[in-house]
Amino acid sequence: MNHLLKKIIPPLGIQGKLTLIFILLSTLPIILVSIFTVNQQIEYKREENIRDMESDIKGLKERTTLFLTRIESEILLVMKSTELKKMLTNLENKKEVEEQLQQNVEKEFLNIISGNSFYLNVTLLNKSGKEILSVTNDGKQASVTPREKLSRTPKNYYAHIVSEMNHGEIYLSPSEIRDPATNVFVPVIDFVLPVYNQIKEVSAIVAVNIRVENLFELLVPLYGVSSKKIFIVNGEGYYIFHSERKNNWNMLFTNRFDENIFRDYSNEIAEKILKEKTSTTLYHQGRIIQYSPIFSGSRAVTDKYFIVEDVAAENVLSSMDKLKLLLIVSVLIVAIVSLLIGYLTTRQFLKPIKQLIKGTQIIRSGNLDYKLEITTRDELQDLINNFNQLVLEWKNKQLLEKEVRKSEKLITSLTQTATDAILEVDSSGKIIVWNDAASRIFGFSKNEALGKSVFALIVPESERRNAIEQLALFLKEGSDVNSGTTIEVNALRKDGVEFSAELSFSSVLLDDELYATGIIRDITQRKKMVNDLIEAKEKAEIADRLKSEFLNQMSHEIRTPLNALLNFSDYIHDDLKDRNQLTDDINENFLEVQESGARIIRTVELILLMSQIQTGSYENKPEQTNIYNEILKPLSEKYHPLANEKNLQFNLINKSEAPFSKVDPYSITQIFSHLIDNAIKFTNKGSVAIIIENNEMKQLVAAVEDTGIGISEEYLPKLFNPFSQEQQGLTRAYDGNGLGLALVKKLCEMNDISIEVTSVKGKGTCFKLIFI
Amino acid sequence: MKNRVVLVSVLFLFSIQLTFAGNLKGKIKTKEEGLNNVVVYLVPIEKTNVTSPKTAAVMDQKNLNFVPHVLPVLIGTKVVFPNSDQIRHSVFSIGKVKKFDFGTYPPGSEKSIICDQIGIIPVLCYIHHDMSSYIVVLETPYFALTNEAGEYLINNVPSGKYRLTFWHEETKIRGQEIIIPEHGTITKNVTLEE
Repeated sequence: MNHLLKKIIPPLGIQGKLTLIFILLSTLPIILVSIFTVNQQIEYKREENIRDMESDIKGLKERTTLFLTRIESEILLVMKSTELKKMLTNLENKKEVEEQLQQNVEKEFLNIISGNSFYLNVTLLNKSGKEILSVTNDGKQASVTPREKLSRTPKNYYAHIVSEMNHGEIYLSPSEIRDPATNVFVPVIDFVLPVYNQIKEVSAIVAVNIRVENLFELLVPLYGVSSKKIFIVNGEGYYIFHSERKNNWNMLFTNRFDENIFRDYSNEIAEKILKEKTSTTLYHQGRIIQYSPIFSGSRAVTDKYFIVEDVAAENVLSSMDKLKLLLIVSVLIVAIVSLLIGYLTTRQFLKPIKQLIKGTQIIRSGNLDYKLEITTRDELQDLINNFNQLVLEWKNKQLLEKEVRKSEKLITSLTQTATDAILEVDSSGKIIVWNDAASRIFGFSKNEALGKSVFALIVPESERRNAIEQLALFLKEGSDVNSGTTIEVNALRKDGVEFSAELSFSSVLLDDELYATGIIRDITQRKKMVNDLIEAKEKAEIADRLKSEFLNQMSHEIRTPLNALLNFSDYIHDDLKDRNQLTDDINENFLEVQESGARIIRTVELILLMSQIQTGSYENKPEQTNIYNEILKPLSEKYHPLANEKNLQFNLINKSEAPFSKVDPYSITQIFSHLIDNAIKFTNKGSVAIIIENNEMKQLVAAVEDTGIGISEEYLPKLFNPFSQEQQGLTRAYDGNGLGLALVKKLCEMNDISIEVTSVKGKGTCFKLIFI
Repeated sequence: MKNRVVLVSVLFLFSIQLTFAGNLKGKIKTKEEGLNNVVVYLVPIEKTNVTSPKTAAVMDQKNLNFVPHVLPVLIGTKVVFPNSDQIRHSVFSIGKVKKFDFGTYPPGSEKSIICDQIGIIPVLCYIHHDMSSYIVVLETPYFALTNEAGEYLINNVPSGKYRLTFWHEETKIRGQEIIIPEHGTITKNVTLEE
């Protein structure tokens, strides 16, 4: 059914549907009301007409009854006189009574009949139907039928009728008799009235023949009305009277040749009419037929009579056609107007919806920046606002999703490329993330690992119980407490081998469930390396200590005999001088000896000092020291002559007002000695200057400047390494063991002095000491 | 008259079959005049079988009258009711012997009944209330109807003992036993007191 509808009715769209609903809603009530009204009118008209017809028929029946009552009363009046009654009681046998009766009743009958044109004949019969008295009206005057002319045979019909009647009934039956005046058959209605004696037995019968023409004129005064057809039929359907065939109605009755309702109506209708017991209305083929039994003779079909009124319904309802036309036209107008209004309204209403549809299409095509710019003053505004908001949210969500995807990819990539095993377990220990490194480290493939219990898979049996407790505890305490914790554990490989591992773990709360993330590193190798290193370091430290001790010992072993040699050399020199045997040559040789000896001692002292520092036996005793007065001045006095020997200018300049610092004076003296000694040693012409001052930060700064050979840029970083000199090998121009600056550096570090060096090859060098 | 012709022919048949047969004649009268339309019939004392006549009896309607007014028939006889008038008739009977109602039927057509039970069938017309007639169904073929003068004649009655019976629509006439001789005609007159 639905399918069929969809096939027949073209798709309407919202506008079509709304318009349709609009029209239906607006026109339906009008149509319904109009139809109702017209139907009411039609019904009213019909009812009115039926009422008319009913009243016609009722009137006819009433008139009949009235008429019958009148005749009855007239006759009864005659019959009820006491004397007559007596006579009637004795009627059966005595002929004299009959004669008396004739004489008595004759007059009365004549009175009745002559005063009334209805009567054709009034006859008194005995109970067997034999005529006793008959009075006839030939239309002009009434006369008594002579006795000899009375019928000799009894009128059985009346006797029969009376035998069938109940007490109090009268009988009315159409009949035909020969008009005594004209000697032609005329239709009559027989009025039969039994006369009862005192014991309510039928003692006589009065039969009255009523002229039909007169009777019908009395009964049906309406039959001239053209639109109505009134007729009387007997039980067989033969017309007794017909308003449209008035002119030959005599023939209807006497010569009932095919004049019956079966010719004029269908069998069905005709039979309905002939079987009806009450007043009824029937609609048939545009006609309204009202019918009712009017009176009946005997119980035979032939002797039942019906009055029928038949009107063409269109006569009654023709005015309704105009009303119907008016109705159709007005409904059409209303429908068209509604259609128009509906169309316009819905179009207006649908405008934003159409834009909305267009908008969704644009957005679907990928343009998430599209925004609906519609302003309405109704609920649609909310829809549009929501739509825009939705699009915005969607856009954001898409961006977010993009980020998330990116992030996921990164994380996956990170996880997969990590050299450490990364795994994630849920609160029950079930593995849900297992990276490639995990497969490599543990030997279980991803498929083997996912969904399994982490404890069963990679925790050695001995630690399993503890691990389960630890996980529970960890998850219970939550990520805040434990995240990022790193512990060393024993882990189990697929081949059953246990190994040391470093486990970092953290927890994460996702959708109300805690998950633990673990990063596991195989540290077997690292542990071995660390152990090796510690061993090597310990060995090196022992070797170093042995070296320092050796050097210390060696220094002593060298210095002690050397001092003896030098002392004895001095002693020989002084002895020769005293003996004036000291020539210049010899003196020069002695100086050479002194100088070399001093150099050895200095070198040994340096080595000793260095080893003391390295072995930690050097005692550094910081105290408040006037750098200028206590250190530099004495040194200047010592080195001034040496500079002079090489024709170098030597300047000591103090610019600081308070050249104090808390340092070890011996160390500081050593530092400056080496720097000044080096400056003089590597400077062949020019000057050596020592300047002491305070910098912007009020720190004491001491600089040793020379105009010597300078240091190459390449060598500068190696400057403070032990045993180093820029020029190596036999060709070097300057002597020195290369320990000096290394020692300086060490001493500076010990006394919190920062040392900087700047130098230009061939121009000079400047060492700057900053006392922190 | 037609019925007379039928009667004579019936009697003629019997006369051939039976060698010994007598005739019965008579007159039925009131004090003043002969009584018309009296059915006179002989019922054998000893029961004999009768065969239904093959010829139908006729009750015609003419000039608003049934003709004849009285029609005696042997049991089993078919009676036809032609309409010989120019108008319609509506023939019926409400009697106990044979109840029928032909309804209205047009001139020229006819209806019929079979008289299968002994007794009196009063016949009436719904349209014409003056019309009336009787069919008298008898168990014996020896019957006659009195004429205007009240005379009757029954020919060729096999000799033997019979009960002579009368029927009239208004008057009761006492029956009597009678012996029909082998030859000749006997006369039986009845005079009614009233």
